[in-house]
Amino acid sequence: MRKLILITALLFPFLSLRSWLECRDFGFIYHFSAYDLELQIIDAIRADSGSILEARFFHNKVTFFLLDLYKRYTELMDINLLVSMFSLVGLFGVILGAWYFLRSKKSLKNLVLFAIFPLSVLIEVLLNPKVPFIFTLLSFAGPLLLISFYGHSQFIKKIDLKLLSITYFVFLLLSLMLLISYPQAAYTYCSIQ
Amino acid sequence: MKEKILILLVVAVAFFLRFYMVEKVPPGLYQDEVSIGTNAYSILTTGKDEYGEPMPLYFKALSDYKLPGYIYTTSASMAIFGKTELAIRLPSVLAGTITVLLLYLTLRRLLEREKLNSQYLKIAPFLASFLLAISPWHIQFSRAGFEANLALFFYMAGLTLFLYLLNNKKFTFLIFSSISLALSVYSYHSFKLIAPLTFIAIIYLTLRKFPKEKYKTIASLFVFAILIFPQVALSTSVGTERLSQTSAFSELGELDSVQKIYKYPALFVKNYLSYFSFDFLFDRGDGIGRHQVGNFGPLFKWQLPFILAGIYFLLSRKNKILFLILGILAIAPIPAAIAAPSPHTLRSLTMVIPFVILASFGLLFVYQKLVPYKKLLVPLVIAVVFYEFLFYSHYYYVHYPQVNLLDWGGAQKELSAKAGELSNNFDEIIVDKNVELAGVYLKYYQPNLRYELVDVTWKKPDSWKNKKVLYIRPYYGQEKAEGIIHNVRLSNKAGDIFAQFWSI
Repeated sequence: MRKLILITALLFPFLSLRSWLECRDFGFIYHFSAYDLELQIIDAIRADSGSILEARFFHNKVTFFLLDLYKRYTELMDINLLVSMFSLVGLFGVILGAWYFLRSKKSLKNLVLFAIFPLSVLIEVLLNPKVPFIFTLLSFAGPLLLISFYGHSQFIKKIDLKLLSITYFVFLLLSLMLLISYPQAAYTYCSIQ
Repeated sequence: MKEKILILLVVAVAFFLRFYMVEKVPPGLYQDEVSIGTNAYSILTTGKDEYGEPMPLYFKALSDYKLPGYIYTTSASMAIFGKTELAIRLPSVLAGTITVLLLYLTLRRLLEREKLNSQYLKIAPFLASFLLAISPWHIQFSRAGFEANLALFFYMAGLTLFLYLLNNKKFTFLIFSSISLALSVYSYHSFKLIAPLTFIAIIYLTLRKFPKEKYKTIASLFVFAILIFPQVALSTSVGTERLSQTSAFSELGELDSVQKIYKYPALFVKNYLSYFSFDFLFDRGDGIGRHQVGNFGPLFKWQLPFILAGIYFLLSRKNKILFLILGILAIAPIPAAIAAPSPHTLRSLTMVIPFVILASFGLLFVYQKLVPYKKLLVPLVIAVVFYEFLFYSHYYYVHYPQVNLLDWGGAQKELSAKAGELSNNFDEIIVDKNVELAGVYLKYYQPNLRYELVDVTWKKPDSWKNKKVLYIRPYYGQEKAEGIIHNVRLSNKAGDIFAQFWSI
């Protein structure tokens, strides 16, 4: 029974990823642009009626670059984007994986696994490498799928079967409903081929 | 003594941040504040609402029905401060300030009860109340007449009183807790769901803690039920109109019964999750100009890692506080998620409480873990917190009144004043409907002014040939022309024209 739950839970992220295969790239809003940054600063200075010193203190390239980076980074980690990529049950697995990782003795292998995703997001935001989207998707999805697998397997091992069945029944049902209702959810976040 | 001084300082900071220039920033009353003001003044002077209904429990206002809590509170405020912007906003300012104190009291009681009061966790109640005092989410809604802020105050008062019951075993606290939670139901729609769910949890916990006092506990449940009954009854009649206006499910259009089974829960889950999106919480908010300052989400950006650390800290302790905080965090977005648009900063205001608590625990947890690096870490965190707060204040006081002027009524007050001033020189006053909401503002600022609302195709009738007509229109691109007697300008840097007065 536990194995069946695990296999079903792992199936959903793959079903969700299917719609992402039609994407060409992430939407432009996720990528840093020096030109856009300049426009943001000009916009902010125009709306500023304070002193020049004040305007320089708040509206400068360093502050705006950090804000812009934060904005795009958090947008690419948007919860609904991740659900569209890995399904609700997949994201639940990622959260479980992060939890068990933090509670366990850290090995180098695990550390590398957990570092790849945040790093991939940073590379995507800052550099937007001109590689086929499948590689970008793999760098995002690969580590998260492994983390999700790790999270599910730990959880399934440790929790009482009755509680486990109820929890996964709810998550799987909701994941299925989301998948049927929003089969093309990926298109909100990416440009299509 | 030291603790009292410290919390008084925090409350003083909270009051200052909510009260300073409250009549000028936000720059003008928005339509709901004007509607509240009109009804509150009418109740104060005649005992009836603007439509002549004596002391109603549901106010017909604009195309909506308003709950009575904020309107009656504003009536009391107007009795002291008159028909002013301050009178409309002061109940919210005070509710917001006292909520900061209530959070401190709640958390202190909780930590005492749960024996989590280790040396460094003793600071948590101060830290959490301080974070609430400077929170953009809470400041935004405490500086204008937002009903949700008053409801949050009643809700927090209900929780605090319940914790006093647990500590003192005096059941009068439970009765007052039920009254306070019931008042939140009368103040904002979201609390029709949040308050009963919370009170059920309170009753369950009280019965578990004091099994011999079940009659007193059940009595307080009755008090709560009786108090909210009129509101629930009204919600099933007039309230359904509001539900159909704001329901998230109406955006799905016509669905058959099978589609409803899977599409409704899917939409709910999608909306519910959007309240936990980083983008919403730390960056953009809900995009509605009245609900946040541009470039800022409802929470400060620096809080993200500390909130995550706070969640980890509480989960690893498996403490009862965890259930309270995560419980509030879990139920707070439910009423908001069934409404459109989602996410919505105002409807989910209750979430600010668990988030500031989590951030304060997170800060203390990180501090404890990184004590060896504290010489580097503490000044760095303080610098980032201070800079972001300054940055926020700069945007709030300098940019916001310029950029979001139209979200707060534009120059409606000036328009109304000028219309009142010129009215004696004209036989008729005509207002173009495209001067959006002009009727609502004129009703508040110039209640005795007689005017007619017309659409853009209106022409002066031949029978009015000898009449002097004042025609109030939006700016259609002509700054100067024969007949234009006054341009009403926005108080922004460019001095854009908001509306024009024509003599025809």
